[in-house]
Amino acid sequence: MTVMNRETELALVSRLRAADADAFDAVHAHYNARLFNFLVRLSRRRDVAEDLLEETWLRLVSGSTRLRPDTQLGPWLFTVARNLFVSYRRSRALEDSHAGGLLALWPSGTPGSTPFDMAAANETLRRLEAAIGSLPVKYREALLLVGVEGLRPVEAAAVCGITPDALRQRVSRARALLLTQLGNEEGGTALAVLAGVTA
Amino acid sequence: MNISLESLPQLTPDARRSSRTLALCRARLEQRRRRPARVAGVVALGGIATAYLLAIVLNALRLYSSS
Repeated sequence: MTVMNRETELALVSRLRAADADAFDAVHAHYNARLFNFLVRLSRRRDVAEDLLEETWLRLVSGSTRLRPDTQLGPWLFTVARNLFVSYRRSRALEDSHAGGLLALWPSGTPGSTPFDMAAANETLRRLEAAIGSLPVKYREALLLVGVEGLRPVEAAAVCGITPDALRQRVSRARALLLTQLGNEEGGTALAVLAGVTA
Repeated sequence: MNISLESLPQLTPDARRSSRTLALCRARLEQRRRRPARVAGVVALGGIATAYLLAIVLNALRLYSSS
């Protein structure tokens, strides 16, 4: 995940406010995959994630001229994506039982130093993916925003519409739930898996 | 081997749909960019029409008052 330079971001916001299509291309190139990963892990359905992703970009287009000059594009886009998912979930009463389907979307092969390491890491990551998928939505979104997308807690809290303290509690609770699920089988690895989660 | 949440594989959106969305967004942005110019054109035309009508009315009043 690459972080956008703040000066570059402000320049892009300024150009977006003038409806500059090239600026939109740059923002799209930077955030499209990240938003998709967030949405697909939140909804656990590729078709839903694709629809919500498109709608997120259309919202940026329709709201581009009303962006504040100091807008932080990442949190703004994740807020829109998250709110669209919440609306979708309310309207469709989305089933929480598609974790297996998400694993089928994985690319073949994950990075590793040896074939054995690759196989072990792959298996651990698959279990981690399934465990994240089984978390209640409010914990899942907090964990994805902070642990996977690398948003700062204060940014993730704004995305979720809660206080930073409440967000930290949710991430902490998500970690505890993941540890319970993964720790029963291999506690040490589960702790290592969660080493990257900080709030 | 160190595994973290960031080690989860990147899932990629459908490339064809992404480029279609991008094209749609670009087209809408282009419309939005042209809108201010269109509004300015309409305002200018309205201004000219108003001035023209005002001139006719003033001229008619001048003729009426002088007769």
